[in-house]
Amino acid sequence: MLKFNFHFDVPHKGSLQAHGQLEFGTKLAILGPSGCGKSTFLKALAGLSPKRSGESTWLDQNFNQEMLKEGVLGFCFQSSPLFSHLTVLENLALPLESLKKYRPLSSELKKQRAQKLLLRAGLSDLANRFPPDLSGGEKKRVSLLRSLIFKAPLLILDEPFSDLDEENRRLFKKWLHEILLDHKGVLVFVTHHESDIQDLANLRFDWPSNKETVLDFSKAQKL
Amino acid sequence: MEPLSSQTRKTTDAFLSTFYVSVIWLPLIYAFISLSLQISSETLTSSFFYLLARSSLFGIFQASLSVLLIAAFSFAFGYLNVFYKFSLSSQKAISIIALFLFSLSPTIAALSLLNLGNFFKLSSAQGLSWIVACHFMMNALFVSFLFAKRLERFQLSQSHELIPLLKSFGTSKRKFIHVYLWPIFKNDFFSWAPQIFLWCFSSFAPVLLLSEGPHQSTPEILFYYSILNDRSGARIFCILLLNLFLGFFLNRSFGKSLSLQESSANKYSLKIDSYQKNKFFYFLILISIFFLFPFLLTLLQTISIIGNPKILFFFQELLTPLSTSFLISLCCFLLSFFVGFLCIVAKQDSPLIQYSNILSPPFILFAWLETGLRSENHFTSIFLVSTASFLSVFPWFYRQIKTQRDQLPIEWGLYCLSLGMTPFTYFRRILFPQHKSTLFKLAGVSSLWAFGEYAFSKVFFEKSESLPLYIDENLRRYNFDASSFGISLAYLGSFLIVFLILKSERPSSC
Repeated sequence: MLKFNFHFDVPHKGSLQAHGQLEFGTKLAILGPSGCGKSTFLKALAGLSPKRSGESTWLDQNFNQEMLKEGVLGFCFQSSPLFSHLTVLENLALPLESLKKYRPLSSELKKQRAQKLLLRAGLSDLANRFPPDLSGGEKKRVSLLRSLIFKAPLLILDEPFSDLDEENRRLFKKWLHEILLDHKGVLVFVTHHESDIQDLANLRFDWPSNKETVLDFSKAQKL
Repeated sequence: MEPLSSQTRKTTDAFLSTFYVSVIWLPLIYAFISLSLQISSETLTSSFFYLLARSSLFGIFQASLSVLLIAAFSFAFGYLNVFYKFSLSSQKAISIIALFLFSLSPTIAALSLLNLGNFFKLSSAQGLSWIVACHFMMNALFVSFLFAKRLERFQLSQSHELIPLLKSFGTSKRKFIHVYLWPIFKNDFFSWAPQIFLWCFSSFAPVLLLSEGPHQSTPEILFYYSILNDRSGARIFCILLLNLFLGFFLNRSFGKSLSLQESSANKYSLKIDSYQKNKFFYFLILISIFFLFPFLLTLLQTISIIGNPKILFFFQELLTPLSTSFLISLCCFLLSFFVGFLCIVAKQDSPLIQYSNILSPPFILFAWLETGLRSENHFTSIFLVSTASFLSVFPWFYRQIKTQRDQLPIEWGLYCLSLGMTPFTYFRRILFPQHKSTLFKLAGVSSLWAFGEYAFSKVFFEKSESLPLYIDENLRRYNFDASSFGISLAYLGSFLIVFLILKSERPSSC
């Protein structure tokens, strides 16, 4: 269960307070205009950027390095930050090399696992390419796969389908939906599309207007 | 936010600053104070001040002239690129020549020109034009190559339809330059000109070897001669003050850094198919010959003596200087790599290092000699010369790595944090591979410059104990076979490093 109650600073907007509690099985979609602080909120929620005060906990534990090493968090950033010195396959295998539970696996097995995921997503031809050779949409898809490869119980996806054309958006969403059927943890994602909410979410939170400084997630709308 | 803790980075900062302060600033302050106690005014004559003013003006003049010529040359390539679709950056050979010339030790470049002048028996093979030619040869092609690359990247990434748009308006060439080429050029100019100006202004060996005596001197050369010959406290004090003042002023005003990042073609970058690679092929050959002429001539001189029994004699004679220079170079390479590791982790652009940009060999020499840091032992001298050589390029080296480090996306650190990566894993898997190529290039260039180190070698070693000293001595004795053989061996090292640098090229940004 993800619990949070903290203040965080949004550049050029001031400080906001967020509080709420997300049970296992929750698939929360957050909607809001660009620049309102959604990405900053997600990073603060996952303990990746500093909060002004307060905390967010996963299973009543604060986010810390030891917990993250266990592979609790799968985070897909909006800007698809793939490491340019690693191939797509190596980028995908990187989490498996870093996380504790995958350490006993040989690097060959880790690469095989990454290869399987690429195949499943229909991207196997990208395996040996470097990120600067990929289009924006390809980068986005690989970045999304990288956050899914180790089956983290907490998935945070920041605009996972932006940069994708309609066809790929539909295909990838369908594929993600299949994966999420097995996912028993918590999913939080940001989107600008109503169709994404209908297809993936069971809870919807609309970012409040500029004047409000409190984000009360208990008021999120059940779908 | 990234796995490296703020404490780790602050500790590294403190270590680097302490290292720099203890080997340069503290000895310099000590020397400055001890010298100021010996000041007597009788040596401060009006002729001395006249010489000082003239040398400052000469330094500024030769540096400005070099920068202007390089700018004009680079603009010409930009013009060809825009109007004739001539792609300089797609020429692999040019990237090799440009990097070779840029990474060549200034001493070796100056000695090559001196050799050229002596070969053609040019009585005036020294002077302003030769100094400027040396700076031009070393930097013009490299700067033009970078400009061409930026121009092409701009066309690809941001405005590939801007040129057709301007053409659709029926824009004249003059207007085209005004609204398109000139703004890009201006922007590019300010990214390299300050650094090149500083290098030319504080250029030591080329001015020392190619100037026509005291009336064509720079404050640094005056400083060098005062330390070694004059020994007048008051004069050294004045020159030191002037040098420091000019250094701080220039560094504050023009403290930008020339990036080595785009020094060679990125094999992952997009290609512009419409560029006509052959149209200016012959022109390019001419340019290459022009730039490589002094070096080709030296190589030809060497080839002509192959087979001659005296080559064995040269080999024997060169064994000590060559091994000494090689050890200096190797020591500098290892030092660069070690300090480079620390620079990757460090956080701040320390002002102590930033303002050391102008501390060229005479400063370090002065500081070390005054504090008694000198050794009779050959290997200790090698270590001292390589350290001094590294220190004189370190501020540039440091800024190069910091610039690259600052360009890494912040999300990389956040992503690694989300995986609970340890600082060591983050360094090993992400930071080091990202900087490896730059580190290798910089260490390569530093070691090449150390290979041609002149000022320290002249003071710390006996006659001809390092390669540049051996070449210099033979040139002055008109023993061209021996000198050209020595210079050719120095080229070999440069080619080897350039080859390895180009081989180590990897994509540097996403």
